[in-house]
Amino acid sequence: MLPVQILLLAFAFFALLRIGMQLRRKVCTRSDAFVWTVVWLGVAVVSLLPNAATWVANSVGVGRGSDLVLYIGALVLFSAVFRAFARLHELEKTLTELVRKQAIEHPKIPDQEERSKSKKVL
Amino acid sequence: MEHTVWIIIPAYHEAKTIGAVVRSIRRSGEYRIVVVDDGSTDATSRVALRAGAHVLVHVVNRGQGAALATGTAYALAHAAEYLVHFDADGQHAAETINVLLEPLFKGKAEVALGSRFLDNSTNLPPLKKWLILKPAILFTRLFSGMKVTDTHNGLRALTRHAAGRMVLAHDRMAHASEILDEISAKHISYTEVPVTVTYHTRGQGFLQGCAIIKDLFLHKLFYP
Ligand SMILES: Nc1nc2c(ncn2[C@@H]2O[C@H](COP(=O)(O)OP(=O)(O)OP(=O)(O)O)[C@@H](O)[C@H]2O)c(=O)[nH]1
Ligand SMILES: [Mg+2]
Repeated sequence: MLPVQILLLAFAFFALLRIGMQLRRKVCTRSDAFVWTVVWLGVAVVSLLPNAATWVANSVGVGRGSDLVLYIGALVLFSAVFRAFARLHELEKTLTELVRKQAIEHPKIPDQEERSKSKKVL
Repeated sequence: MEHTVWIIIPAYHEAKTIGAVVRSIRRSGEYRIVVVDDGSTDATSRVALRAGAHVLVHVVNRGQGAALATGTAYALAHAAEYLVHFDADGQHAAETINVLLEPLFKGKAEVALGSRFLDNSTNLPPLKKWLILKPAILFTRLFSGMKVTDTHNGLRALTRHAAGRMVLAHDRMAHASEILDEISAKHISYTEVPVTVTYHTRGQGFLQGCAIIKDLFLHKLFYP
C-alpha cells in the first residue's frame, strides 16, 4: 500500500467515526450524516481500489480516477458551502427578528421612567 | 405641529454625542424621537433616555440597517405619519429635518433623500469621497438605474405609506443601497435635498466606507 492510501483511509475512518458521534449527540441530521457517510465511504473505496475509480471515471468519459474524485469533491464542497451560507443567512435573520421583537416589547419611554423613579423616591 | 413625525436614530456606542443630538432635535421642532441602541456597551441608552428620547435596545449588535428597521416598526406602530432617519454621531444638523420634510408635507414626493453632493457645503474626506462614495453611486446607477447624487447618506425622510411598503432585510451597512432598490422597485416617488454633513477632523470614515463596499458586494453576491 502506498503512503497516500494509508493516509486517505485513516482520514476516512476518523471522519466516519466523527459522523457517528455527531449523529449520536444529535448535532447533525440523518440526511446530512447519510450524505457524508457516502462521501467518506467513497473515499475509502477509491483509496483501496484505485483501479475501480479509474474504471468508473473512464465509463463517464473522465481519463483518471483521481480526477473524477476531485471533480465530485469540488461539487460536494461548493454545494456544502452554499448551503452553509444560506443557513447562516437564515439564522442571522431569525436572530434579528428575535432581537427586534424583544426591543419593541420593552421600550424605554422617558415619562414612564421618570414616573417610576419618583415612585421609588416616595 | 399637526403631523406626527418620528425621528429614528440608530446608535452604536454614541454616548458622547447622543444626548446633544436628541436635545437639538427636540429644540428644532415637535418631533417624537426613538433611539435604537444597537447593543452598545456604553451609556448610549441611558443618555438618550435622559435627553428625552424613546429608547429601544437591541440586546446584541445587529447593524445599522436592522436598527433602522426596528425603529421604523416602532414608529409605524405609534401613529407615525412621517419618519426621518438621523445619525447619532452629531454629524447631521437638526435644522435639516424641516427641510427634508417640506417636500413630503407638500405632497411632492414620498421620500426625501439627503445628499452631500448637491452643493459644496459638506467637506468630505477625499479618500472616502473618491474611493467609496463615488464608486457606490456609479454602482447604484448600474444596478438600480437610479440617478441619485448620494447613495450612502443617513439623512432621509419618508411618508408612512413609503416606509410601510419598504422591506429592509439587510441588517448591516448596505441597507442604504437597499432603500434605493426598494424605492426603485416599488416606484416610490423621491426627491433629493441638499444637506450638510459635518466631518470632524479625525479622518474618520474610510474604513467604515470599506465596510459599506464589502457589504454591498456580499449582498449582491449571496442574497440576490
Ligand atoms: N444601530 C447601529 N448603528 C450603527 C452601527 N454602526 C454605526 N451606527 C450608527 O450609524 C450612524 C452613522 O454611522 P457612521 O459610522 O457615522 O457612518 P456614516 O455616517 O455612513 O459614515 P461617515 O460618512 O464616515 O460619517 C451613527 O448614528 C452610528 O451610531 C451599528 O452597528 N448599529
Ligand atoms: Mg457619520
